[in-house]
Amino acid sequence: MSNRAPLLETNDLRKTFDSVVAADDVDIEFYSDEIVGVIGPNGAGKTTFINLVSGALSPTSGQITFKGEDISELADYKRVKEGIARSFQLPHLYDDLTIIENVKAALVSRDGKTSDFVRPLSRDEAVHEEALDVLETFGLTNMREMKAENLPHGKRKILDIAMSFALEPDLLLLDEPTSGVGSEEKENVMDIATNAARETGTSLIFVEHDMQLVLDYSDRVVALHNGRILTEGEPEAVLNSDEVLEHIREEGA
Amino acid sequence: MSGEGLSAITERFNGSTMFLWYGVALVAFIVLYALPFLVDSPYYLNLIAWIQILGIAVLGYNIIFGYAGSLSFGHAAFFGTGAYTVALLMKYTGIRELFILVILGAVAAVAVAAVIGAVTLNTSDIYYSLLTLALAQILYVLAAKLYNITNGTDGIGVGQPHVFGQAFESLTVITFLTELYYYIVVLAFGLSIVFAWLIVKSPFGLTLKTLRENPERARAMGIPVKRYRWYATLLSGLFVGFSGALYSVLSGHITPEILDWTYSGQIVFMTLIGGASTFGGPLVGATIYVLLREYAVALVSNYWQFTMGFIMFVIVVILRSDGLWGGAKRLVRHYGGSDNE
Repeated sequence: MSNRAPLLETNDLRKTFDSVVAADDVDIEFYSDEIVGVIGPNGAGKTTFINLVSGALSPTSGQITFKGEDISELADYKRVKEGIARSFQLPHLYDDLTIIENVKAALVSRDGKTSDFVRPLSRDEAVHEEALDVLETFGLTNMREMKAENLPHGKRKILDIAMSFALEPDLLLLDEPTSGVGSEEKENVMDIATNAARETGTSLIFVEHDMQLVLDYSDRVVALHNGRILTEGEPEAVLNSDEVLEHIREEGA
Repeated sequence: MSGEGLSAITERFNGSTMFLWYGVALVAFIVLYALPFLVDSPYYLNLIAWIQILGIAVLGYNIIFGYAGSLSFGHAAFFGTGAYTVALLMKYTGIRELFILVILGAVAAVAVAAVIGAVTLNTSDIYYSLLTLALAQILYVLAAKLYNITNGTDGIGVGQPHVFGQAFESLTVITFLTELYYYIVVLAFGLSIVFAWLIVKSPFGLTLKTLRENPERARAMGIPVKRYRWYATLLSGLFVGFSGALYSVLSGHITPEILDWTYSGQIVFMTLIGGASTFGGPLVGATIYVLLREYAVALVSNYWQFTMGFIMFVIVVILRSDGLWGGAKRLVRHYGGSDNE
């Protein structure tokens, strides 16, 4: 894996909030077609890491390189055009829009059509067909005319992920994709997300507290603690490492 | 029946209701054009022209408020700029051609919108509302204090413009307004509705809704939220400035009052009572507002503002952003219909 050029690389990435160090000189590499689980107790800096890579937060210092380009100072919306998309711990949907409109909004943005104000969107068959394909992939076809606000929580998480996939990113960051989802539906969410990632060749970094899911769905695991990388590597080795057992599993990740 | 089947039927039904709406709109415009033959009263024709002009303003206001989700309290700035541009051009230059005057009025409003939009770019929520209000008040004060240019609170008289190079000096003001200008207003109203409809149904319109619904998500989807809010402000300024320019000719005399924050409040009021969450709501709101105001003044005299405030309170508490139009649509849906407007 190390022979390949990394898709994403961070060097001495640091983020502080007053006296709190949320990312403490993080050096890490992620590669194409990887599915990486990120674990750590609350306050370990997992969401901060996602926010730094997606551009929602600016680093205090350090560098983020994506596809060989320094994107540390790039605005979040510009990073999407470069190929980085994200989902949110609490689903961020367009609640008053229908499910299919939520997906179409992503497709329109991806295709650079957001400033087109002449042609009615309803006449854009290509966008409509692709939105239907996305909804089918994520099992939301039957609900397409429902408003997003009326979706149950599990489906909201899936729609949040579907909207991110619709952007066709090279790297997708999923912030706790199964949080708040019933235990019987967690695997379904992860199956859908990881299958879509494998089929489309999207690299996936997902933050997760459920260690079984991390074990089942990751190619590699990164463990964070107090903003630092505790350890990383093969899922089983990481989850059973002394560092993880001491700092994460005992504290309840 | 499967959910799939239901969705397909819903889509087909929505398609047919779209044609119904086009039909209703066509009939409405035929009626508007025929009104001078049916209504003999210049007072009522002027009232209907006024409603249409305000309709253009609220259509524009709803782009920034109903669609992009930013509550501006400064749209009087655009309305007043459109109106004052026409009045000042007629007073100080030789420009008399209506179409040039109106276009310049709208362009001037867009220029003001570009500045206000840029200055308010980094604000949101109540700070955005207050900043738009404050910036509009600057124009109000300028119009009121620059007496040598604007005649201050005395206002400026707006004469009869030329139409396609032709002066209509032989016509009385009433005849000009009801037999010629009325048709121009109907045409402007129709074109504004078509343009606004295209905007809100376009990919751009959907993008504006994402700003309203969840700007954080919009950014995470690659949408430059601030830039699109600025675009929305420009478009909004275009409609409202156009409306102000048309108003100056209809009114024949403009004062700084049309730049005051209370005028912005009226635009917000009309949009809210009709329903900001729908395309047609603000048009219904403008109609109801003008009629209510006319009749409230007649019926309750000095208490008309109290009456209007009470009506607004009741409508907003009961129907919220749906307003009267959205509430009516909900009622229709409840009894078995559907609607996708």
